[in-house]
Amino acid sequence: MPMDTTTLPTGAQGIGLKHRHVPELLSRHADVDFLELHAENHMSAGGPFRDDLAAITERYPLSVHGVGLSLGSAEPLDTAHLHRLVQLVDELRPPLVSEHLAWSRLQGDVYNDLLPLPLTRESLAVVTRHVDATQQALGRRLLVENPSLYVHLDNTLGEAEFLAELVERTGCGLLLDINNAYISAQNLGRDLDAYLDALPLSAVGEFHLAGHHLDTEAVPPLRIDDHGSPVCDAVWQRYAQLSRWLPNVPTLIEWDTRLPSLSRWLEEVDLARHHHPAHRPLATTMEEIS
Amino acid sequence: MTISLADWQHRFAEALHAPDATDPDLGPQPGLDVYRNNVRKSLIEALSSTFPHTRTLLGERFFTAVASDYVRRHLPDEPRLVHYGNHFADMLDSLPTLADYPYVIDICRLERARLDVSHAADATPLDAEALARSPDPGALACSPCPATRHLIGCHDVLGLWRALERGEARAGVGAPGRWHWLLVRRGRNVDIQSVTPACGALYHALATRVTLGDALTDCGRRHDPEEAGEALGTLLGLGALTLSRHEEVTP
Repeated sequence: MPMDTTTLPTGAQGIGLKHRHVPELLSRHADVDFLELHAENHMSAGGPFRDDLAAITERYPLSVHGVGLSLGSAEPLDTAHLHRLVQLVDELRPPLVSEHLAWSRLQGDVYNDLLPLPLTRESLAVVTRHVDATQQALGRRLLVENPSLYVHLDNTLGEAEFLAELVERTGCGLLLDINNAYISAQNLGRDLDAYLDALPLSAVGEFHLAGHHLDTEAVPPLRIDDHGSPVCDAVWQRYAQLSRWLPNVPTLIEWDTRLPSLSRWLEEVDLARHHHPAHRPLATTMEEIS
Repeated sequence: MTISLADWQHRFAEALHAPDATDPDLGPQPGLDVYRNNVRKSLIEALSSTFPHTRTLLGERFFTAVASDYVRRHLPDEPRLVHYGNHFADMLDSLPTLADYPYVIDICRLERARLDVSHAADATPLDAEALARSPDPGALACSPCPATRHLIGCHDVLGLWRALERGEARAGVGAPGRWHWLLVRRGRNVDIQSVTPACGALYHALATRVTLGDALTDCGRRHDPEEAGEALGTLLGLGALTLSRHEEVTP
């Protein structure tokens, strides 16, 4: 019977899709519930990369994670790029589609990073307009990811408040990147508990987990979101807590630099399962709660 | 905040371009360097991924310096990084330090074209036998397959290219001249063949969407009718042509 790759099981655990791992992912069924791809890496018109993606799609559910839509740009959305995203999503029919609370495009130049934007009423209006347009074009709900931040900006809204209003105005969901939330809290001196308390957690449609490194040469030292190492203990602890509150939400472990072997990456999935209530003995979970 | 989001984003972008400048609103924050480094490093990595053989020939340090300069001058114009670096070969070509190494620019252009061919749309190649069965082949509208490119280089670098593909950094560079190459995607690979100037001329004539007969006439005028016929055989043999305008050949 063909596998249903258009839905995810409860509390699904996934990893990123990398070209390097495609042969292994096709030669055996890796023990993951889904794979997440960066949309911009899979927008080829044809050729072997498209063929690989078609083969992967038959075996694994996919999540489409955009990094280039630039929802936070003051200028209008790049309609050509939005059209490419729609085509990809229509073709893959993924259970999850997500983008970022960030900007990267300015007057035809693409900065290829997730740049921060000041959280103001004007920014909220801009992002609301762009999320509305994206969801309308996609014909489905978009998850918007919280950023990892390195600079203090002249905000008039808190990030959690901004995201809550965005959810209310657009009906979008949230991709809660716990590593990003931890990094921003550490770098900017934010209260992570207060941030999480203020987020509309019922809108969270996916968790992201990833590794980061501490740049001790920066003054003050900065935590840099490089997706190049295992998830740190502090993030695992937050994940254990949040997944207890939101046990059905899928979890994706990112790894984009210093890419490990597929087996090593899957070990990280085992760790995520270890921290997830669905995979832990109830007694342990109750002990943590009390 | 007193300025608009659009103005703020212009100022932030300016701060990314000018590491020593301090924007009064952003202040002297070390975190700005994280964004500067992310942009610079990710784009140098994208160039390195697109031009691995050019990097081998130039050496890591020189390549990084040139790539860094390129990133400063040319940001991507769209988020798909496989399309980044369209002007990289031109920039190398403009460097006086590389004037004695023009074959590096040939390799660089081949790498750019190879990536374009790898990601181009699929098409059914026109079959020579099917063409022969057509009642009026000259009236057919055919064009180069999207997953093909014709390049002209200034050195015979195919031996060097194949050595680089095998992971060998050292190989002789062939004779200087005006060399025509055709890149054609076959399955997972992109083949690079040396072709005649007439073949290049026919390829470009067909790319203008004229009929096969008109393209052969044009090519035959520029070269020789016999060479034009051979060029058609080469292009068909390499699977480089496809029918356009929904033409059909009787099976």
